Amino acid sequence: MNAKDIMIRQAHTIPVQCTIGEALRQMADLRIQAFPIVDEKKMVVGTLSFWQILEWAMPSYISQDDLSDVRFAPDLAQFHERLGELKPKPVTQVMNPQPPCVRPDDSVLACAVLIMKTPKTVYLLPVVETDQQLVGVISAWDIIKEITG
Amino acid sequence: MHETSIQTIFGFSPLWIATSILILTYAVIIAERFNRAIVALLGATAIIGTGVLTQDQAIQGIDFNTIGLLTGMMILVGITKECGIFQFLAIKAAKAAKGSPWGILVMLSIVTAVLSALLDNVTTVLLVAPVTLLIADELEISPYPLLFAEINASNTGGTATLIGDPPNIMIGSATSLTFNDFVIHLTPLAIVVFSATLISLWFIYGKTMFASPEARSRIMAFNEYEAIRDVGLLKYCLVVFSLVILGFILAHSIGMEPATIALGGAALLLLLCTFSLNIEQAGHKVHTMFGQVEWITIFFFCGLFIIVTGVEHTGLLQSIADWTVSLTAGNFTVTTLAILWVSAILSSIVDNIPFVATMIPMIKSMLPVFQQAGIPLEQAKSLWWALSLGACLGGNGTLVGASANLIVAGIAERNGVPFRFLPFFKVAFPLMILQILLSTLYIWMRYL
Repeated sequence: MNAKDIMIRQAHTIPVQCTIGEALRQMADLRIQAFPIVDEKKMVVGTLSFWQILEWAMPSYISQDDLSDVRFAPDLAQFHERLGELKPKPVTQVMNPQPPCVRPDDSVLACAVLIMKTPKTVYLLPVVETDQQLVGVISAWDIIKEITG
Repeated sequence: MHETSIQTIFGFSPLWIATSILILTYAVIIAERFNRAIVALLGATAIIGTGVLTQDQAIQGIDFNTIGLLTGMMILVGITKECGIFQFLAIKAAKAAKGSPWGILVMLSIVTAVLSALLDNVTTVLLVAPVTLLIADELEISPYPLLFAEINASNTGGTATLIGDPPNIMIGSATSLTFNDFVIHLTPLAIVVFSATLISLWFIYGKTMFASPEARSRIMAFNEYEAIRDVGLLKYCLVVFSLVILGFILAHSIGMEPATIALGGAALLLLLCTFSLNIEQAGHKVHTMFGQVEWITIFFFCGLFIIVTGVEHTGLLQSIADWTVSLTAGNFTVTTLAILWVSAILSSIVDNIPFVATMIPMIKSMLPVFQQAGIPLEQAKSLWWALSLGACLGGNGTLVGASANLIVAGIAERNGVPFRFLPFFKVAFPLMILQILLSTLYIWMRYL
């Protein structure tokens, strides 16, 4: 079984000129945690996940684990402030510009290994041709479905 | 003095061999090119390899009291920090100050000083500094003054007790000075130095610190009880720590050394934490908890003790002690104050542990000379207080003066708060001079 057999061909994508605020709205509306970022020729230029936005919006001492538990703080004004500052900015500022991608003929096992190795950042794998042309996406769910038969 | 039985090694006297190894080791440690534990162990190997000491003599030179006390306290602190008590105290302190920036600076300094007096300084600042950054962000103020004050509080608090700072652990272990002696002789001065530093910081930073009522209310909304991650563990830690501190206070009467008390306390806490687990789970947990010990520091101490013992065996330290006494014309006052100031200046620049390790046998050699000159033993002990105050407070002088300083600077820089050598030095060094002046006055009035 290969990537092309389990990938979703009609993938939701976000155009490169989109803002982070718009991307967040799409994440909420479509209940999707991550998107491929594509240019006008449908070439993959990066991926953007909710985790990456959170990491940018959180103070660095939280995201870098100097302070790993903030249950004592009911809310953090600075988090909302940073998030507010991020929203009008382009997705290119936060996206991963060199996301792990797979080829249509890569095995499902190879896809699972990629997700296993970068569990924090990879909620989906873009499936691309050699010229980075997007042909589909594979999410962790697609792999779970395949594994469980 | 213990003359080594070997007269020459490769045609050189053991004194020159040991001195060369000491100087070379210290030079490489200061250069910070290689890990200090590796350098100290290689130096120790050279001391044994060249025949300055036999292996048995070298092992006897390792002060178990220092190693045991450090290891025991590291295990205790390593377990305790997991229950969230550090964060709880930091937030409680901030709320007690009603969110006022200056009040928070004072309260966080008090928490840091008290914790540093009872636990190790690095762990204290490692856990308090990130909460400080969050508090400062919520107050929309610069975290620099708070972090600066915490560095000073950590080193000053560490000065106050036998277990507060490695130099004190080494001094206490090498002498008959007890936990109570340190509390009686150093804690009062540490409180004065701490207060004087805070007053100075008020004029330097405090007058301009301001936060809006809205920002202050955000701090008041924090729930410090949510910071406690494991109530059961917290109870165990509090019980064991109370027993350990009580043990330190009664050590002299019950005939136990601090190392035994700390290691016993660590074993008891480990037992309590693993009591309900099966043998495999308990083994895994104990393995993790032993991993909390800073082995680099422990091996660094082992290596240093061997090197210094080697140098001591050749009679070099006795000669330097005699020379120092003759340089001050046998004047006890001048010698005491010279130890204080030289310790402070050197400790602000280089690691105070090798310095104190070298000074301890030297001061031990000086004591009989002064006693013969009619200085009472109680008064002669002020040499130890001078060494402790200089070595511990000296760490406040520069950014590289103590490990806690570098830890705070590292956390601050990583989070976008510039913490550079020169700006720190401009404020910290004069403050350190003030602290040593106060120490001079204290020693002068109380002992000289």
